[in-house]
Amino acid sequence: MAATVNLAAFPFSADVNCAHCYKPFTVYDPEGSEYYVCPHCNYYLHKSTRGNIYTLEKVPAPANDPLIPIGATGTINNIPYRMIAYMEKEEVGQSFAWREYMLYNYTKGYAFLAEYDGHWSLIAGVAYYPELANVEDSGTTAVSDGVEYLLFNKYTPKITGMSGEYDWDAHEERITASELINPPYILVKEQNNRNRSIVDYYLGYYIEPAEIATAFKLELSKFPPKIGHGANEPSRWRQRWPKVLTLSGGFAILVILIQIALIFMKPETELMKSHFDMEPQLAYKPDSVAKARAISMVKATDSMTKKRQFDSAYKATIDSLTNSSLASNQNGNFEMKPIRTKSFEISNGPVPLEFEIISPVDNNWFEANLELVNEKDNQTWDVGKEIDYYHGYEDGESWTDGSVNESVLLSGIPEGRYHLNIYGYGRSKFGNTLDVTVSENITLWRNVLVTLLVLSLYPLFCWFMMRRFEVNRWMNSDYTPYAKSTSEGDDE
Amino acid sequence: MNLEDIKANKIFVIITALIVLGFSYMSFAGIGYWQSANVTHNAGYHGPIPHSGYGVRFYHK
Repeated sequence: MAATVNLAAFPFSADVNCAHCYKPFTVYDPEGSEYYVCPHCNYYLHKSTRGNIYTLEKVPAPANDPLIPIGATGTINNIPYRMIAYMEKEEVGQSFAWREYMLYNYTKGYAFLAEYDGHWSLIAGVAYYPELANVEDSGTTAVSDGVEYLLFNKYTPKITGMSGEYDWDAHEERITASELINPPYILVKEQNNRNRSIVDYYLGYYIEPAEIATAFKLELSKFPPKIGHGANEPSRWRQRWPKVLTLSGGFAILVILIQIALIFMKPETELMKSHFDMEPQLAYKPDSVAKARAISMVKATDSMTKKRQFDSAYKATIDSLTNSSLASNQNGNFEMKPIRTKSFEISNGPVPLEFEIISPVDNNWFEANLELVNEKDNQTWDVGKEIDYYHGYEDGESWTDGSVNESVLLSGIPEGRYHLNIYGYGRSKFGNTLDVTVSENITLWRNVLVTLLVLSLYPLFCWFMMRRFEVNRWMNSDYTPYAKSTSEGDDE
Repeated sequence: MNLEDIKANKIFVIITALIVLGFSYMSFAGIGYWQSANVTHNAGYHGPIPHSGYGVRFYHK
């Protein structure tokens, strides 16, 4: 906001002599200022209505030289200012201390640059902000020009050092100040302790030191470093949050629209549906063995008798052999005969493929190992699924566990001709069935959910940082809307 | 939200747009962020289609 200062805006500076040490000093608003602090002897002086200057008392000199020298000029927001007074203040009964630089504009009057812990606010009264004449104040909140401010701090200030000139008796003024914030704005309420009906409001906004340094041509390196968060310091996370939320929301809607378009463009299609009776695997061929045994048992020589003896011996052994040939492992589980399904075609790949398998087990289990085979290049995809379903009645309550159906999802299956090899394994020797349905272009809702989750990460991070900033800001307040027990670390 | 906001958050916008593009590619390519667990993919080999490996032929219903 640097601009060339028009010195014609400050036309009436004049030199006056101190009534105590008689040394001359410059007064920049000789018509308006009625109280001066002599820069030589630090006596507090009063100019009477007749123009005579009287000594009042010696006031404490500032502990530090003002960062902006008295008499310096600068322009902020196109308003030219001259720095005419400097005060160091502290909160009565507390150790909080801050500095106020009083700026003078010839047409608008006083404005203040207040600095606390390296955080600056430019504060001005009703001459700058006419809406301050209509502040609706409820104590803990105030509304000005439709903006609500929350009470942040309430204190009684005390001057610990002063210099410059004033148009009121600043040294003897006794006020109670309330600060209400809506960052980057701060509404300051000053209530006169001697006459409580006198209440003045001032509006300020957070200003970066760089802007002040540029305006008054100061070295930025001489400005005090920022400590913690200023009462009305704007949170960049709060500024970013609504934009990030809007952008992420827009992209989230786009993702959903793309998914809906995909559902219409590549609809889910059933490629194959079959029912299989799963028969147990045989460890050997009972027919061959029975025949061999029957032949060895035939003793007759004539063909008719041989045939009878063979049939009798075969019948006697085939049933027991068939039972004993059923393969079971040492745990008593049975391997089923492998099954090859009919072929099916994926014509518009790659696609997500889903196998839904159903086996009506009842307090039992059945395991199916599925092997998808590309009949052109022999690519295979193997996956095992166990179907188990148990139910019962215990302690007066029915319970169930598991399900008779399972599904398998494969992604990115290229186009081509395929079949499934199914290898079954079960607890029961007989009665195992399997229904298999193969579908393509399954809607990958997990893709949508994962994408939406990823899109929400940065907005969530912004929200977290914004809240953390606010919690830290309000830790300096007795009126925090956040629980005092919250102790989060500083973030930036 | 306007063009200025988008410019001011261009890195975020670019990254987010890439995420949406990635999602679009995966969706149209039929690729899921994940598939069923324990899927073993064999890249295939040339030659006759193998039998079950159990020493028996497949039973085709």
